[in-house]
Amino acid sequence: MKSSTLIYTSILLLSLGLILAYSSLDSEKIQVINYNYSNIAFPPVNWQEYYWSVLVYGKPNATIITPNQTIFVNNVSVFPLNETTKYVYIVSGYVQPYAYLSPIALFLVLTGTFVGFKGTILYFQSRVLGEELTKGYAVGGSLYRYFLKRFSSFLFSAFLIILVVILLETLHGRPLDKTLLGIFTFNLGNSSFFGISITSLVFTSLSYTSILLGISFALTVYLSAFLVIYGIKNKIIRCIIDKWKYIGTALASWVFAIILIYLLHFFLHVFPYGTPKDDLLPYLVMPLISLFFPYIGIFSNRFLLNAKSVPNYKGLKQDILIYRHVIGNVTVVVLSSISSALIEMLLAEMLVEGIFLWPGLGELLKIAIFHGDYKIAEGVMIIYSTIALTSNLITDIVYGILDPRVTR
Amino acid sequence: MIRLYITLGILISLTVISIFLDVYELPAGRPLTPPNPHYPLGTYINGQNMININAEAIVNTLLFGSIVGILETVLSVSYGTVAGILGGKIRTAMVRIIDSINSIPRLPFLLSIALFYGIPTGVSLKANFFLTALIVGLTGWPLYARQIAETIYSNSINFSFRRIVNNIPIRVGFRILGWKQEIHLIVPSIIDGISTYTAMGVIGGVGDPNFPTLTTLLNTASHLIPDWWLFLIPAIFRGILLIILQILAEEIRRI
Repeated sequence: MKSSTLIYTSILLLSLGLILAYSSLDSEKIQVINYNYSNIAFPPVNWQEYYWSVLVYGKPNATIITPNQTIFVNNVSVFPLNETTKYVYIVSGYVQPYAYLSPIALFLVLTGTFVGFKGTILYFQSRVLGEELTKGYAVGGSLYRYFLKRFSSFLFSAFLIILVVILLETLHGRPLDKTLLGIFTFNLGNSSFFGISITSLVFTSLSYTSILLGISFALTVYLSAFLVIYGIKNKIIRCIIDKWKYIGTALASWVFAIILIYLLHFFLHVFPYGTPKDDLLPYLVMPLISLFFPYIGIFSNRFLLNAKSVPNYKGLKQDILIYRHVIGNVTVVVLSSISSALIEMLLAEMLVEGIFLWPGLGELLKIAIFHGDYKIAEGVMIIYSTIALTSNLITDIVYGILDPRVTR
Repeated sequence: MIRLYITLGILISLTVISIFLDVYELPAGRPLTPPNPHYPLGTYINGQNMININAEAIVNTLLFGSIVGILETVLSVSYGTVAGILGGKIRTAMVRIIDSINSIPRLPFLLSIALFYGIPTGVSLKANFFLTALIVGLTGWPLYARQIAETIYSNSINFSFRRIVNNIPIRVGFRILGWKQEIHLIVPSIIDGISTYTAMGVIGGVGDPNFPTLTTLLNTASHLIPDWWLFLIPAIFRGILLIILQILAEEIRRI
């Protein structure tokens, strides 16, 4: 496949992924209503299932209107009335109606980045060596068999994670049948702290995680490809990348995050800090820098680590050795570990989110642990595993299509 | 070799000085006093000298890392050696088990377990230091066990035992493994222990008030961001400690 085709496909996938991620953040104010004639006011059925944007706008409010009075209730719950009367129970708050798009956005960004990385490397190879020398002549095996093999591995790991969740739920005293039913209907119940469904909480927070992770991951991987290409031939760049791993270790993303808050928020007053409500962009900058800065070094270094020495074969030009053989072989290693890189960055992002109060999965998990809400912790564990396993499956399949050698 | 001795010397010095300053109490002052000539690193929220606080945190951080490091090394070497020695289908099954355990997301899993024995306070999760070290150690070994199993297996493929009965005697397994492998593993395991505890601390506020680590200090600082010395100094010590350990791991690998 031509490098230009891969790069255009990558840009298309990345744009689509980021548009979907941005759309999943879209929020609107809604009212869910229930009415009846009784001495007990019941909230609307399944009001917990809406994608309430609780981390950004707080819990939904409850208002009960009777012919004689209007009652504002702190928590949405069953409310006893003084007499049998007509009532209207209104639950109002902000929802993210397209929150379910967030996982799709994340996978599109991953695929786009994967294809883009391959395309960028191929572009540099073809620019130096020409189209003919860049072509591969590898013979592949059956893609179908390869897919089945990968899918069986995916199923096995998914089964194990379900088993772990069942075990944890059982230890918390939940009946086995309810746990199984919950897992297979994607309904993990309601959060004890927020009072709304775990699915809703996980998807709404994943929207914020997706946009931040999507931008930082694509940017990091794309730029690390450029850095490595120049680093292989330039000793100074190579040396800087080599030392960067120490900076990455010492200045972990979250340490860097706090330094940025001191520098850019408290001292220079350049960027705001906290939960974004209206204008997202200014709030996005600091978390983005704190993820990008350590990881660009870590990724480039991982790439260069596999290209430590350029072999010296008589008769072959240095360019051919570097661009066809060294970079070619290193690309295989890096592409096969790109989904692990995404998961590694997702973990770092969870740490950073807690620091910046960015309303993503990390912030949700933090609140859950602080208040002992084990159901949210399990929900995050399931979505985290689903992202990890699906990312592996997607990159394996795309890799199988782009490089048929692995299907043998 | 010189780099190894220098790094080791710095680590030992840092540990000895920290143990001394953990025991020897320096004068306390008004809570949250910024660094000044009387209190070069400032004072903590309880007025204690930040030199003592940081020293105690370094000792506890190293203690946590060491417990996890020893546990992970013992478990991974035992499991990996058995898998490598036995070979055949048993090895395949044992490696498959390792891969499956590795596919469980470690951090959310650890936090879910910590909720069983920890006490949520609304701003943190008070969790016993040693129990946390135990669960971190018990979940971190599979990655290293796989390396051990592969090392023993790949280095014994041409042995006659392996060819005839598909396994090798225990003593041969240990001879292949050698003492270096254990030494190679221990420092990365310590780093793994410290990093994982840090991640648990940053995301879930997991910590033990009786055994404050550098992460505990950083967590406290995250609620008092304008008091920069509460954050910056433990962050510098944490950075130095991790860089020393990383250089040490690299140098040991080179021996």
